[in-house]
Amino acid sequence: MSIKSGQNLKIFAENNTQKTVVFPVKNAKNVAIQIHAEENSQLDVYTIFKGESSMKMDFDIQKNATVSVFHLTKNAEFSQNDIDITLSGENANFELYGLIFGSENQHHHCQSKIIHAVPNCTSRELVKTILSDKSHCVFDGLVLVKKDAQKTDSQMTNRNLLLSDNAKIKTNPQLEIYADDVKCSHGATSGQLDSEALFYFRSRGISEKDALQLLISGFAGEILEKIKDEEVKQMMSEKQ
Amino acid sequence: MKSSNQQPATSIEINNLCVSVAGKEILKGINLSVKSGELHAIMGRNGSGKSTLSNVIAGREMYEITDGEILFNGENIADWSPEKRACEGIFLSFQYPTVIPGVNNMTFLQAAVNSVRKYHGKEEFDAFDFLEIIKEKLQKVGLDERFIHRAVNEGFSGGEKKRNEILQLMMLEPKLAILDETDSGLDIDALKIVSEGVNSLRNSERSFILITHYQRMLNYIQPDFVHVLIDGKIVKSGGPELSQKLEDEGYSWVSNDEC
Repeated sequence: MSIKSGQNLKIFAENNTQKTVVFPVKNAKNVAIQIHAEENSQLDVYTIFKGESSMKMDFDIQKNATVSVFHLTKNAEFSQNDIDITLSGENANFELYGLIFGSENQHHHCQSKIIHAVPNCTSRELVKTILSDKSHCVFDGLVLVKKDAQKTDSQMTNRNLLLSDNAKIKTNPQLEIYADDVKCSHGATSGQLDSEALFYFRSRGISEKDALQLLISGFAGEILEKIKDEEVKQMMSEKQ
Repeated sequence: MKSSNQQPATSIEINNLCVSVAGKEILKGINLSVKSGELHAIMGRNGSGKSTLSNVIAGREMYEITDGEILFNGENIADWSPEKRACEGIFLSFQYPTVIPGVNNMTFLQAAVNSVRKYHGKEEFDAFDFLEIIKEKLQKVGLDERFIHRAVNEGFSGGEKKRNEILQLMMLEPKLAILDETDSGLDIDALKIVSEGVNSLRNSERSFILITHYQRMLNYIQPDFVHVLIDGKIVKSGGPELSQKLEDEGYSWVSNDEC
């Protein structure tokens, strides 16, 4: 399904169903998508950003439902994805995996707000960026655990690989917890390619270019292996 | 004794090599000539320059050659990239093999072997053929197949990392292999396996430089020559008996000779 600027969409994953939706978002701005995952449903959502695109997504995840979101950006000049998630039924699960490639003068924003409103829900967020040239990226992640959301289990991680001195990342992982019996973690790391690893590969005959590609694929691999849709996986695995 | 009358070719020749790291002179005029088929052991204390020597031969960029030259098969390798050196047949077994999360050991090994094959105009191995070849070598170094499906050196014990180095050595079949403290961190069983691996690769075409602190690996691998490196210089050279003397008497008698 191709998405147009200003489009408003509502998606329902009905009770006890399993569904996968793939959204190619190419030169589409101010797109709004509301997603309801009803009880015992399973939903995989892929958003693939191209060109200059911005989108707002709202998720309501009900009892025993599981939602996985893959936020993927490659060869996009500008991307903005604001994702709001409410875990509103017990034993609901949410996962967000992000993989953002930035190059040239690109700007990318990935914003997420995960609200744990009820007890016994889990959320996982792992966003990786690979930034070269003068590309910029902003990661803004908030996990909000409400007072009643005891036994919440939440992890949020942002990892950034900066391939040039002029690439920039601004990362802001936040936790706000009002319950007293929860397991939550959050963190961010940013770094350059490991020069030791590069030398190790080159000392085995692998050219500098191929070694870089291997190391970048290795960094992205943790996200790629989570992608169940083979076509999407292939597209994200190809050389930039 | 060599059965042929022909003199073996010189594999690597190091002439008056002086090397600095961050402005500090580490190697102060190394002279060393290793012929094809020979195994030379270089022994020395920590800080004597052993690892600098092995890294500079492999082409690590942080080392600056301030004087002298390294000739490999008669060619000066100063301007060769690390990958060119590897493709031409120089192999370094790392003292501390690098852990590379996310990159599968098999992907890495296949990329390495195929890069070298491509350089020599040979056909590259596909994944199927490669797996067959590597399975056989895995046995020789006592690693089971799951090691090649894990990330490079990630979660490997010290001994497993060193065996993984020897596996790479077996796969790449270099002309010159430098083993930088391959014995460190090995228990006695792993030491035997690694030594057997090295011995099985010795032939008249391949030369070895074995860098070590201790005599213990030389109980399993018989060197043709032993050199003692102290403060960036080779101060003594001899046969295998030299390593035993060092083991018995330490390094002080050599350094005293010098003074």
